[in-house]
Amino acid sequence: MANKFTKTFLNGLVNENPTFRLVLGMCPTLAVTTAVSNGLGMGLATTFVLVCSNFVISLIRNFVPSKVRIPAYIVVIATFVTVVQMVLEAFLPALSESLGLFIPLIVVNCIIFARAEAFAAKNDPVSSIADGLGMGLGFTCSLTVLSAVRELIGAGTLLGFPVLGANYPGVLLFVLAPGGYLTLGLTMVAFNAVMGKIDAKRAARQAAAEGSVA
Amino acid sequence: MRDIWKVALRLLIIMIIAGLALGAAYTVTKDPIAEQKQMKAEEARRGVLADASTFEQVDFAQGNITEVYEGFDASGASCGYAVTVIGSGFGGDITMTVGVKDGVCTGIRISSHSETPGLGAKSTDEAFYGQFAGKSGQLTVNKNGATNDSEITAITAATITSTAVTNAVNEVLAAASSLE
Repeated sequence: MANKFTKTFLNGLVNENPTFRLVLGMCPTLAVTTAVSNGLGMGLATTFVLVCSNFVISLIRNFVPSKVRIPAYIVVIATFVTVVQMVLEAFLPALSESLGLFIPLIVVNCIIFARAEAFAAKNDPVSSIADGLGMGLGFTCSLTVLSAVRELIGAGTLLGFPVLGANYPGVLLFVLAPGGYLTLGLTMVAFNAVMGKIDAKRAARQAAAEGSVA
Repeated sequence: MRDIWKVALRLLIIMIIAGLALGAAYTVTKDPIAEQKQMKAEEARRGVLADASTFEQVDFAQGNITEVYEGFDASGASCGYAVTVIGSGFGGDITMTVGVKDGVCTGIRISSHSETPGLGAKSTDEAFYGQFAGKSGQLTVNKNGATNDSEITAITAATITSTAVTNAVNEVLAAASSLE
């Protein structure tokens, strides 16, 4: 059980990384990765909603008739997002202020819906939590990496602290939308090049193991 | 046909549970949210009128000005007005509180905006909004940096935001004469 949990978790984090492998949730990815604090905040808020919605959808998976599963899932997801938004606003105003813009965006994040449909609807609640955590943190890592590149090149800062010196002029292109596309494309190429090598090695090892058995 | 009833009933149950959950969350968070908003507005008023210890709402609304509070210091003397004004920025409305006393701006605070993060959102940095304290008359934005007392240095690559804030402050300064 513990092994399966870890495996599902790592699957979301690396093998099926939502941003670089499944290419899901591109709209928030491009929109919020202008600064590390935004990328990290959006990622963590998404992770929270994803874990909760995966868990609940997995619990009710046998109760929901397949004909109306889409409206049912959307209601579950939207309820969580709204509750999270109200709770943050009431009890953690500082966090709500920095995340405020992104929380309503979570409803339309297709990662959450895709995981409900592809994983939570077919698996037990514990695995669904693992999947939610893995996918959510995978999304968080991707957003953090992308926003770090954009913030560093675009403004010369990381998390608001000047890194490249006060005289760094900043490359506005990277803060604006085109920079988002460029950074996303190039990072995706790098990620998949590395993953391709690892996959090839794994396949070779497996072939060798099968060969020795035969 | 029977199948439809079953499907509809189950969907109805899910909706009812979701509705109840939302209602419960709303009831629990309603008062704290209102309190937070109140506190934030109060804080903004204190920020722009440092001497004031109590505030009293004044019946005044004109153009983009939505709310006016008169501040009084500990001895009960008037120490200026805190004016809530809405400017129209690049991404939508920018709500801010502007302090004004004897036609001079005592400071401004941006309370809500939807400007581009990293660009127009820098209007909430003190480096920008701090420029308005002590200014009076008609202010203009200079992209290359302020050269005299009636100029405001624009935020790099966010001239629309800078102009929106400056225009709103101008509106308050112009209305101040009819207030006092």
